[in-house]
Amino acid sequence: MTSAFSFLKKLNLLGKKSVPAKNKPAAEKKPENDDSPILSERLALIKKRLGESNDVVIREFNSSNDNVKLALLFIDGLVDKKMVNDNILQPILSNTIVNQYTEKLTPENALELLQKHITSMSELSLAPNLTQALKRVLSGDTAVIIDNEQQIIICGTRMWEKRTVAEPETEAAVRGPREGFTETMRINTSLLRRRIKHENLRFETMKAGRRTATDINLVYINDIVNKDVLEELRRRIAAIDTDAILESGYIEEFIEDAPFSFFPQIEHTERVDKAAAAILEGRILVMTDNTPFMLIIPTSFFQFIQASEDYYERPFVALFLRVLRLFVLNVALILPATYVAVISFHQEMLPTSLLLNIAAAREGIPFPAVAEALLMEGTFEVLREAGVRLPKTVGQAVSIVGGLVIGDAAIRAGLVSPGMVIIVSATAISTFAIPAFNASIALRILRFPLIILGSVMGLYGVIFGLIIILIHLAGLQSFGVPYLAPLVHGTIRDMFKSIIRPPLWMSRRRPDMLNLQQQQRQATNVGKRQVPPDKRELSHEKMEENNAGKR
Amino acid sequence: MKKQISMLLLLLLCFSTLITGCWDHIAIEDLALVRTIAIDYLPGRRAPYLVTLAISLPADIAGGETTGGGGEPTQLFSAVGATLNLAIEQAALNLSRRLFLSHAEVILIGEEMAKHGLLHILDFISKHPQARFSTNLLITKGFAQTVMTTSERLEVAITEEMIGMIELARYSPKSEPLKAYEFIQKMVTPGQDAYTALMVKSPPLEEEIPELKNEQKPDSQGESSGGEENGDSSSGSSDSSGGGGSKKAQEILTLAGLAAFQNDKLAGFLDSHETRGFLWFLGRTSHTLLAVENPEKPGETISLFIARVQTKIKPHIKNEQISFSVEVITEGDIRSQTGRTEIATPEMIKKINSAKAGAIKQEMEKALHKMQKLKVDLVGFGTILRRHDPETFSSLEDRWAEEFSKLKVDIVVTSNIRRTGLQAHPARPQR
Repeated sequence: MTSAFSFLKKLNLLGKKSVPAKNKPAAEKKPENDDSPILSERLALIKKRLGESNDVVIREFNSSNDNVKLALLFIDGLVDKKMVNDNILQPILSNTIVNQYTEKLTPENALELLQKHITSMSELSLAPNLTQALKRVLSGDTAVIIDNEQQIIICGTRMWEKRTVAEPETEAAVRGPREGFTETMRINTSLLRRRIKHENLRFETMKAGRRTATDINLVYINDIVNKDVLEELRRRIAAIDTDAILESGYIEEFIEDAPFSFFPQIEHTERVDKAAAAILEGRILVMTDNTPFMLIIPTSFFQFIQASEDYYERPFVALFLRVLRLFVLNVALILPATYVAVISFHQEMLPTSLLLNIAAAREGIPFPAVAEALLMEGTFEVLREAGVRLPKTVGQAVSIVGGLVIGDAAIRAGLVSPGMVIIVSATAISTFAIPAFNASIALRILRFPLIILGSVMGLYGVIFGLIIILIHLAGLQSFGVPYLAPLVHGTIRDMFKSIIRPPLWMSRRRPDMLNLQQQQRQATNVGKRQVPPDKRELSHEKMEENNAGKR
Repeated sequence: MKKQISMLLLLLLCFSTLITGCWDHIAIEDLALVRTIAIDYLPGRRAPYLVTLAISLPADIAGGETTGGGGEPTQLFSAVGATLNLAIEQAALNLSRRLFLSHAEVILIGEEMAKHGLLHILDFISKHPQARFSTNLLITKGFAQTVMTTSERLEVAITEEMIGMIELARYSPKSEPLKAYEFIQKMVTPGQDAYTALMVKSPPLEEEIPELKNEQKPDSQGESSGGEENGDSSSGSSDSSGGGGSKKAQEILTLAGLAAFQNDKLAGFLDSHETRGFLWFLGRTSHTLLAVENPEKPGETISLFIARVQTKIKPHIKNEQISFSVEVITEGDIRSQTGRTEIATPEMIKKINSAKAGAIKQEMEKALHKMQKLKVDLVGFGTILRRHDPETFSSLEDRWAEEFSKLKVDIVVTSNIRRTGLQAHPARPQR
């Protein structure tokens, strides 16, 4: 595994080159820092820098004893106005509330008194200059500017319209919590904190995007996480130099190992339980503001065939489902290609009656099998894409038209054979049975070259294509962890666990491939499980006996 | 440098795909699926091999609905040639589609061909890229081609009927069809001769039973016998258009009996009774029926079901005199009886047991006698001897056929009747 991390060092070198400090555009000059503490000049400067935007609110006022001139600065819509009125404005302005400190306000002690005694804010800090203060204001805080005072008081008043916690639509589960992440980072952190109530859970803040200034949180457990991976992740995120981060996909693209691969190297989720499980397993969650999709780092390929539900159902169910998913993964990738190859080159492989059936069905079809396959697969992709984009009510119409036209009319018109329709629909259903959408779309794309290879070279071509894909997969890494781990560079235990989900009381260690600080997850519970050592203590007969005694 | 080499390798890998190509690409609907190959030999000709190919047509061509049932009538194409390949090539000239032999599941070999020898056919099977070792070899009496023209009854094509019969043959003691590789194995094993099943065209039952033919009501058999009014349409060669009515006049295919080979040449036939006698030696007669005469009341017949058979063959060498002992142990039930004798008594069972053992022994001796007459060691006594005593056998190997014809074989049959059917006593009136 140490060798795997030497790979990171190489990347480090590459990364340094790509972060030159000087190629920032000249237009983005650093705003002057030495703004004057005079209130009127400051307000003028603010107006100049923020412009005439109508959501910027500047409220000038004097303290109730008229000794101090102040101004409030906040962005309308991002702050809780009630909080600003009740907890900031009123204590300073009002005469009705008897506050001994408001009487004592002078320009000299204003900063201290306001901080310590007057404003009743739970979240309060100081900004050393206007630039810092503006950054906070644009995030929804309220700045209290005091005349002739360099430092600015920042009150945490963030409050805006947010979507409530809802069930994640892309990762629905039969059993398991229904909560999904939302677009608001504070809600998301609370969702995680509620699941992992441990002092070592860390939310580490970073920012990316020059104009969007998007908040990014690295979430991990400090005494489990692999520090090398964490350090590398910090470095890669810090190296992002871009205008905008609008979704976690932006970050994914900036930090992944092989940007030109078809395969996703970073898993994303909007399930809170899945994210919590990943963190507890020693992985790092990259939380991006304004999106419910969290990145899980590092990722290996087998995670894409695992679902959080595997751990909520009985182990055998999980085993069955994982084997099933592995199977459909292969079906989704190679079924149409194999079909085309077999019916164009290897007719002797089919049972005679099946061959006769297919031949009878293909009689009079104007296209060769490969054209038929590409046509049908292409049509299906179009239908699927149309279904995604269309509003729900119209989507139904599309599916009916698609189903009838593709399924029935095309066969009757003699354009395609029924066998091909079955193959295409089996493939389509298979792709949807893969839990991870981004992994299944990679397979869907690779299906097309495989079909062409199969039609040109038969099964030899299909195998050829599969070997190329395998070579590619074997070469991929995700933050120092081989993509095919634990099959590659893995321990036997990990290999078993990638398919077999062991009973929870038996699964004692975290994945070995992650090289964590603490591999042990729990004590060995084998033999001292919840079942009492003498089973008779809880037996049916015993209970009846006890009840009889009571009666 | 390393990168350049790997790029070069990748390029080479990509170019290697261009070397292959679509030359052997063939659309599935352009294949002529050969289901059966019938091979006959016409002695004294320059092109003695007569090949008849049964080609299945997908339903659409045959004019049927696209039911997807794989229903297909068969078309026959015949040609002659100096070798099998040439004859097949010649037959292909009559076709608009490419011949495809991989699905030929049956090879029918005419009697004349079998007498001439099968070496050429076996060579063809082992060398042709599309031929399969798992093809079933069947021998016909007379010309193989005439068997192919029999019309199918239960299945959609005659090949399917033959395959069905071959698959069911394991539950029947009347024949033992072999696949090509099994035939070759038996042929090349020293002290063992090859055989395979016989596919015969037998006349319908009406031919054997004249009364039946005369008294048969027309509507008693063919339920859809359209215009067929008079039941006594004289013979099998009557009109063949009358749906169900024509059936009773037709000849039918039967898989019964064995063709015995010496080396690759046909030596003779075993009829179906002899075949069963032979199969007792192989212990392959389980799940079959056996009829014995009621030992108490001659004229009454008891039919017995044979559930298990175990056969042990042991060689004995005494003073250079070779003899074999064959021990057959059978188990089974009583299935039915004619008459009203009480047979569910220990004494009676004992008697039936000995009658059954006697019948089996008689059958076996008859079969052995036939094999010795033909000088074909189908059981493989020679192989058993070779395993037991290789030196003795190697001294006899050259004249094993002669030795076999004079071989002394002791047959001991033990019979155990375990059950008397679901009910011990036959249903019968009180007196």
